[in-house]
Amino acid sequence: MRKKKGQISIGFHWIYILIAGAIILIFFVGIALKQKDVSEQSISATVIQSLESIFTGAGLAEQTINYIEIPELEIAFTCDLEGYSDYSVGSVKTETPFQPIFALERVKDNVLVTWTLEWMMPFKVDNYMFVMTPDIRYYLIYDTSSRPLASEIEAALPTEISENINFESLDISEYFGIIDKNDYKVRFVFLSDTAFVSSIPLELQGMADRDVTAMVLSGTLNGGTISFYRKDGSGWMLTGSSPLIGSFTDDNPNFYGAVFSEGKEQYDCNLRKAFKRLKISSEIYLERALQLEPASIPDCHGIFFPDYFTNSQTGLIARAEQCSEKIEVQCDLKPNVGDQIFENNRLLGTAGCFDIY
Amino acid sequence: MKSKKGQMRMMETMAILFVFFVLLLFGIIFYYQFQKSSIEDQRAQILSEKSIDISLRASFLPELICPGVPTKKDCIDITKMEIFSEKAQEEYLDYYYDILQSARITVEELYPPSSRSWVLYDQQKPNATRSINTPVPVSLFDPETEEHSFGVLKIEVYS
Repeated sequence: MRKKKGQISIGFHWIYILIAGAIILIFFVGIALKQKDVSEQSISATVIQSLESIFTGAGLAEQTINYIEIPELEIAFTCDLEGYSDYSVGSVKTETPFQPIFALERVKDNVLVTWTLEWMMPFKVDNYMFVMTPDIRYYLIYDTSSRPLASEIEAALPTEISENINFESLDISEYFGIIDKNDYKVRFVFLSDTAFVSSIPLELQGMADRDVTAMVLSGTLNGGTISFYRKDGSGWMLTGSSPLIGSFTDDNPNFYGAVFSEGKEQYDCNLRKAFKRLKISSEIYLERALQLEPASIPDCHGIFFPDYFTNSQTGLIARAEQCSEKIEVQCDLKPNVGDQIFENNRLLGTAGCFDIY
Repeated sequence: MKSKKGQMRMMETMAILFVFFVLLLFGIIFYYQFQKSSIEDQRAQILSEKSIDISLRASFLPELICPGVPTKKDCIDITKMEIFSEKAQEEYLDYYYDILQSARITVEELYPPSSRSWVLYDQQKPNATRSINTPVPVSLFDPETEEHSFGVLKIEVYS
């Protein structure tokens, strides 16, 4: 009887040790897992915080290139048709409600290259920032008619970009000879309708559909239409089209915005941010001109009062407001109101009057 | 005798538990204090970075720049500044709050000496615990007189 009691006691003793051991083990495994999550979140937050400061600085000075070394984490850029935009690392994100940032939806490399260009309409509206990484390959595909455009783009790309980012200009005849270089993503830029090829090069057909995208330019670098495509098996699937908005700068930032955007959604969303700023800036320029006009010399009244400045500027405000909601063909304001404001400013300047901008 | 021994053991267990909980409490207090000062440091660092970002944004606002192509940096047009001030604080407050957040931005004319000053944006945080003030020297352009003066753009960011 005594022996039996001892046996039961030893049995319970071990069960007790097992339970206690398991609880202690679960407790420490739980802490380790929680710590891992916290640590990942902390790294993401640090990266996001650093990116925020870098992007702020990079986005302010036009015509600048920044080469940023970062931990190799996937950064997701969102800019949707509702107008919401952010960039995120893991579950940590920061909203970008006003800054136009053009990038593919996801980038992953230990280097980020940013390039900033200003949009002039004809006065400075905003700086656009383009984000790219060395493991994305960009192919500029041209034919005889679009060869000059390819040369123009090659000349416009700053040396720091052509040295660090994979940009290749290819004649349409070389298209099917493209080989898979194990890039994270591949982006095709067809510089004319006639240079567009409806099938994917054989070597790239094995890549994931989301990793191969394209845009087709119909027009010039300062106006026309942009069509966005995504790989669909062995061919292309049209994802949307948008007008190419002009600029009063040699390098049209809206064209490069299309080059570095994933598709229509991101392109339109970022342009809408710029149009919002254009509307506010235009209102400020109009009110400024109306304040300065009465004090100006009589010769200026002749230039100002035929109202064409007032009309074009109010036209610009109304159109910019519409385009901050939706990007349409009419949003290319350069040929009409933009040129008119530019001419008015020139006339006022030559007459010794105040500058509009 | 057996009961006394049992009582002693119970007392011993209680004493061990008491010491254990006291040590645990010390540990928790020490960890809490350490975390608190670490969070405070982080908050100060975040505010300092935020302050730099907002100061940069404020000093490069395209809405304020002086006329002329190419873009003139560090130059503020006084007329545009006055119009901007109204818009940023009324009609487009939400838009500019995203850019400038909780801050007070003022411009003071320093040379030639004058008493002119402008409040460009004033969105102070009611229960702000700290603030950082960043002065940025700027050139001020008066389009009515076509004269330049020297001023300072003061950006006070709250947290």
